[in-house]
Amino acid sequence: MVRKRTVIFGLIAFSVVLCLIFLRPTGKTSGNNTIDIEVTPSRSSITLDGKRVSEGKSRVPDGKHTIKVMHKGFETQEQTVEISGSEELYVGIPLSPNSSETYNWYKEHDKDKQKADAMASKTYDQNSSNMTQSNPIVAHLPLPYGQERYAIDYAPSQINNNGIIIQITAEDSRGRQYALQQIKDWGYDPTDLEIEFLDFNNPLRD
Amino acid sequence: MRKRILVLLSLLILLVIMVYIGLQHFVFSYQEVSIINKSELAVNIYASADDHDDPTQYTGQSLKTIKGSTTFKMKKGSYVIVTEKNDSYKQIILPLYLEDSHAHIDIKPQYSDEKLQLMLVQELPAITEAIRKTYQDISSYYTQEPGWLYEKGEWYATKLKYVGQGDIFKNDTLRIILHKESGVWKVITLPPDIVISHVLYPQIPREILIDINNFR
Repeated sequence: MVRKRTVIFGLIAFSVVLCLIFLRPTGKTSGNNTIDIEVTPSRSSITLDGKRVSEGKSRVPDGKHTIKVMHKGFETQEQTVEISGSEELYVGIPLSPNSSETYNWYKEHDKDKQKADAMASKTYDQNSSNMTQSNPIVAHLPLPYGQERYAIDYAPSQINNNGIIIQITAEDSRGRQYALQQIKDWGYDPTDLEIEFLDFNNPLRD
Repeated sequence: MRKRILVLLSLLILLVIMVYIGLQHFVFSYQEVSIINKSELAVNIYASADDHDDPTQYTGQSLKTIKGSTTFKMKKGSYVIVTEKNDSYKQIILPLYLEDSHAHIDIKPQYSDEKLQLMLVQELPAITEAIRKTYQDISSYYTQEPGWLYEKGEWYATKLKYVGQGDIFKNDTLRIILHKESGVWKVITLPPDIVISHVLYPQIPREILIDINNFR
């Protein structure tokens, strides 16, 4: 009797364990992203993909999402962001006054002024971090003038969002070749970079 | 009675799990592959030799031979795709990793170096003329190397060597790339530059840019 009961409970326990193993979440679910929204003035109306939300974190699926911020006396702002792969994205939107009544808003509302400054700083940090992630070469830059007589720096690309343009300063062709070799030594193919040779006057450029 | 139900239920759950495992092993272990091959070349698929230094090493007999474009299922794993040898075409050898997503392989046949060399002899006067028309005073600054044709002879790349007198500040070698469109050669890199960037010219195949920037 006792043996039979043990077998039954053993079977049940084994089945439950197997169920737990095979039906566990695999961690591949999409749409596990978070958008962290902050706005000024604090009591602005915020919509995310047309649905009203409050400041703070909202969960969204992979893809493009539109955030719209409105407040009477301020310019309405709309921002579309793309998010994927369980990402957390910060979106800080400070509204600009557009009427005489709100013209001095940020001077008269110190909390909103401080919040707007903090938002600008967070946005800058996020953009810098995105730039480093998208362009790992910036970890080596800027490289100042050295014995080989070249310098390598970077600036935001005019044609590629989140991209950079590598700026090589060298007074002669040998310096430019050394700079390109340095980039290869860091493990990058110059083919995949946007490169500007600052001191090179290309005779074939219009 | 209750005990019997519990036993049956447990056996049923076990059966479902066994079927699930079976499905995983026998059905989910296969993956779809689409081969897009617009050439007349036959494509063979071999088992990979699992050489970490060279993923194009393969072993044994061909597992499958394909002509033209097709979609089929293969067991997940590492394979090597090899096009048949042909005097007019370069042999293409590509690693194929079949994992959790549908694999799409685009076979882009390229003419052999010998065939491209022969074509270049015929095309060079038209290419040189197209460069001269675009940059009329080019010969005061640069000499054009014979250059190389790529793919099916529709891309051309060469180096321009500086010949200007006494200017050490701009005696860099430039790269220039042309494309043949509707039978007419057209300069794509405006202007030619020390490095031709794939960011600025995404329409030029990256392999051509890597070759002309690094190896020629």
